[in-house]
Amino acid sequence: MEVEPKLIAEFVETGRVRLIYRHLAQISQDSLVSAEAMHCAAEQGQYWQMRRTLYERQSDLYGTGSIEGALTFIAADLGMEQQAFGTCLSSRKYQAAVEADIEASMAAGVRGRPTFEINGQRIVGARSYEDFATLLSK
Amino acid sequence: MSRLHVLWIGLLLVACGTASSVPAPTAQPQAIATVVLPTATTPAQPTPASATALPPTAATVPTNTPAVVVEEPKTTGVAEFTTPEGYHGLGNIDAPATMVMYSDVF
Repeated sequence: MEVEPKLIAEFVETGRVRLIYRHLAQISQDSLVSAEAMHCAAEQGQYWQMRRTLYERQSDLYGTGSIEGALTFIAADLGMEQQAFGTCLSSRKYQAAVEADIEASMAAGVRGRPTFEINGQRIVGARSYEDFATLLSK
Repeated sequence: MSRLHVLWIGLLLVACGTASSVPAPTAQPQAIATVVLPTATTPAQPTPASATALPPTAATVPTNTPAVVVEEPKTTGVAEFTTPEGYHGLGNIDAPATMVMYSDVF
C-alpha cells in the first residue's frame, strides 16, 4: 500500500494511466463483505476512499465480533450516511457482483494476490515502485 | 416568430420523422460513448463537434453494451469511472495505459 499512492500521484493523476480495481476476495467471508462494502461506499461516492481506508485500517477489521459493524463504523468515520450504508451492506445487494468479479478473475487465471495487469502483461505479487514505474513508462 | 420560421420548423419536423428507425439515444454522455475498456491500446476516436447534436448510431453505441460511466471526483481528487462490467476505475478514461489490480482487503 506504500507503493500505490506514489503510482497514483505519478501516473494516474497525471493522466498517463487508468487504474481498474478487481476483487479477488478468497480468504474468508469477511473478505467478501469488505468488498461489498466498497460498492456500498460507491453509492455515496466513496469507493476509492473506502478501499484506501480499509487497507489502512486492516487491524481494525481483524478479530472484530461483527465485520459489518466495523465497516459501518469506518463508513461513518468517512462521513457517509451510516444508516444508508448499513442498510446497503446488510442487504448483500452486491454479493453477486463481487462473486462474479472473483469468478471472472479466477477464470482468467488470476490466482495470487495481488496480481497486476499492465497493458496486458500480468505481474503476480507485490513489486517496488521502480518496477511498476518502469513497466508503466514503456 | 414569422410564418416563414414556422414553415421552416414544420419542414424540419417532417424531415426528422422519416428517421424513426434510428435507435433512440441512450442517456449516456456522448463524449464517452465510443470508449471501450479495458483495451488501452486503441485510442479513442475524436468526435466531431457537430456530431454531438445527433443521436448515436448503432455503430458507436452497441445496444447490448452499457457505456462507461464517468463520475465526478468526489473524494480522491482524481476522475473516477465505472466500466461496463461494473469495475471501478480511477484516472483519465482515455489514458494511454491501463493497470488492472486484483486484490483484497485481507
